[in-house]
Amino acid sequence: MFYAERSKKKEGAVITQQEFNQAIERWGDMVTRILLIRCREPRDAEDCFQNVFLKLLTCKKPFRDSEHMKAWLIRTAINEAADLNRRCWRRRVTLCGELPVEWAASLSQDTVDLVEAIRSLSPPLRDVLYLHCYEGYSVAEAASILHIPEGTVKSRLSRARKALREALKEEL
Amino acid sequence: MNRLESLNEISAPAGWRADASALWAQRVEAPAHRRILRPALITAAVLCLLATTVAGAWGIRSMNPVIVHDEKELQAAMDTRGSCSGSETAVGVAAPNEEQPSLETFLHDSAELTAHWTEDAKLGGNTVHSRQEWHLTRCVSSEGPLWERRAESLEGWQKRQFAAEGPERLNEAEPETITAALPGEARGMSPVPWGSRLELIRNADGELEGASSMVAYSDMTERYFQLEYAYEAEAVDWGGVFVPVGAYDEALTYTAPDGREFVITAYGDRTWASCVTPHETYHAYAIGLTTEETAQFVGEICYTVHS
Repeated sequence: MFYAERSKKKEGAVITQQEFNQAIERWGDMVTRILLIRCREPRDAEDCFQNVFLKLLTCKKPFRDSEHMKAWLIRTAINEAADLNRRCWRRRVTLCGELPVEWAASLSQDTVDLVEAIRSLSPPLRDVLYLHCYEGYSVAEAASILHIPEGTVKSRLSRARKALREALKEEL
Repeated sequence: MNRLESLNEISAPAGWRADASALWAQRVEAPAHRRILRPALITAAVLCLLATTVAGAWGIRSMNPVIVHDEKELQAAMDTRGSCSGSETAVGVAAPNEEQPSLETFLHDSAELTAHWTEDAKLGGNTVHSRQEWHLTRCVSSEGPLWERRAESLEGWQKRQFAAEGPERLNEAEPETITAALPGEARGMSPVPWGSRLELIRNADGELEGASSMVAYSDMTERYFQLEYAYEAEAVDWGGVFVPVGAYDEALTYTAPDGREFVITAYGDRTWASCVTPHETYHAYAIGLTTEETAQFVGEICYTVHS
């Protein structure tokens, strides 16, 4: 019974099973997108995905609202992907843009092209591009989530857009 | 239409969601007899702890996996671990890791690494470290028995990566910072060519933040041994991992001549050895070696950080 006893006795546990499942349902796709543009292989992304939600499960941080939880999940997903690359010596070979076949097979060619173009950017550029241009966060909000100055977000955004425009040969 | 909207196509596979949902059940449901979490979850549990680390809280002492003989002992060990940490503690129960890389995989990765040593540096850029984003990489050398490349972050951190033809060459990388006792040949095995690696990370003040190294040996047929070493300047609570003896063919502790204590486990033809302290970790993995041979092997390998 130790798992049950420990879990229920833990002080400061702030998430219920219902909230936990809702988070997976609501933000699972978002976490997947972040990991897909960050991780080298699907199995890495899957490990990170589980780690992100395991951290949510054990997180003692009270969330103000769902947006707060969303921002926390974004930050955690980015950290997980970065940590994975750091820990695994095998990952010394840097991420290339090409999407693994098993991922690409489930997506349209347009999406594959877009994802591969994003993956060809450096991680900092990918993050700001995704948060601002896809998730719709303002520069200030993206800066807050990524813990970097707004000016850095702006400059990275500019570089990311330029690089992506060149890669895709179209406006964003 | 925003071009990026096509990312809407990407969704979490159903299996990922199901596995994530099952995390809750794994936390709150009682195990029938022996609770064995899959290796990925153990890793996840350890990672979880990294987020709640209180630096230095553990002092200098062993944080090795704990061998337990039954659930009662496991319960007591978990309670002790939890009360020591003073914070919520995610724990993992070890199981034989069937996903360990084979010699073939290692050779492939080594070949890929050396083949792209200069190209990756020229790519300029997306080598990642959790604490920094590396923007500037350059190849320092790609000839001779010891290769080097460097990466720098905009914040001024620096990473030096070395790949060596043989383990003894790693001692030439930065001997004032790190040296290691690494056997040339042992137990009928030789170092895997270009299987010896070292990485050093310094912050903007030039202080050593971390180091990691790997060495690998094989007879190039079936027997294979690899060891990964890591040093963290800031003490880390690596978390609680428990080893139920029933999950392995063998589970024992071994004290090396220099006092380091390893937990060694064996399952089938595979053995694992771990020595974990707040600042240093040794993790070894072998195929075709007995626990005695693995113990002797890890006992002969010792890194020293001079900082």
